[in-house]
Amino acid sequence: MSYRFKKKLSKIFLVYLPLIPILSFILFPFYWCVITAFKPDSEIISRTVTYFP
Amino acid sequence: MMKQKQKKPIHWKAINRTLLPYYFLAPAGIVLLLFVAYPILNIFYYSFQNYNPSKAAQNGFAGMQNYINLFTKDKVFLDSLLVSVKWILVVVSMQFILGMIFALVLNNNFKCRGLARAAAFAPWALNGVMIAILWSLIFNQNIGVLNDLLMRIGMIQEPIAWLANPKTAFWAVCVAELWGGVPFFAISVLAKLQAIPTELYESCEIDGANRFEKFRYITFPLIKDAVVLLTLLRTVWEFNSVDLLLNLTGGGPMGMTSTLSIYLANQAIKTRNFGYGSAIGVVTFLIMLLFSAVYLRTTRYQEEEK
Repeated sequence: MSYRFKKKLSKIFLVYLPLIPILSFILFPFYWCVITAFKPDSEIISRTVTYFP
Repeated sequence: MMKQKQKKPIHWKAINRTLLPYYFLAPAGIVLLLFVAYPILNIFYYSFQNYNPSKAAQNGFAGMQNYINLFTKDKVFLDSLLVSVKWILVVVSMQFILGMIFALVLNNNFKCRGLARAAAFAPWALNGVMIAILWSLIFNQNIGVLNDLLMRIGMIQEPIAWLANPKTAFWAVCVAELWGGVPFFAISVLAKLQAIPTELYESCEIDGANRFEKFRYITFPLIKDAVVLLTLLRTVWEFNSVDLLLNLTGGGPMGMTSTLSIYLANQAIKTRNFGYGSAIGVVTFLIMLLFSAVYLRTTRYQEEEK
């Protein structure tokens, strides 16, 4: 294992792996807020949840 | 004779010079007295009164009656106090841990770092009621997205009423509060991390320290003061916060989310029992004062390590 490869691997584990769940937790409510704003009322209160407008 | 006469007059110039700082402080001091000291003293005054606009005939001096009722007859008060302690422990520790991880991650160099930092700060820009509405939409039993997601993964079989179920209500509000509070820790800790000079890490590397040792001996001691202050601020803040709790559950199923502040708000504003509410306010004020003093003493805030 070369030094560069090791560094790249540590970056994946220490930066991107924890970043993805945290960012999705932070950003998902914003996404939900925005697409709910675009839905008609009947779609908001229907039991089938739609993820894309 | 001449000498005595010269000694007598008051030296206004010298007096003015010593008083000068106080002149400059006066405007701020007056504002503070008016808007901070007066309301607090007023709360103390009302806590010794029966004050209830809807029962005006009984208004008047009550002595210690409010406090006696609070500590001996009122069971809800003790329950609320316990909920408050639980709320603070859970929320502050969760926010601190997640915010700390987030800050440590954002401190690294990677692509789209600016974007990730902006995202980290984003929830802070929303106000409490807005966050409450957003999360009540997500937590909703019938139309909520959380139930839908969990059912798609297969973790639950039928939708749960997150905010109405006594078992889940408290944790649901905690998650919403966590979402709203992470930026506070992430951004503040990140700012402190950025201030650490890189030479320290370099010399540490030359000495052969691994990642954990670098964190233990360089990072942590340098951000300790900030962490102490941030957790203290956040604790007082969460203790007094009502926005999310009031709007998501309003004290919630069977008092599961009724913290002391919610109980206070219900007593003073909903039932109009201002005297009793003031007594609760005084008790919470004293609790927080005591907590702050003990916390700063035990964590040795701004003391050199021996």
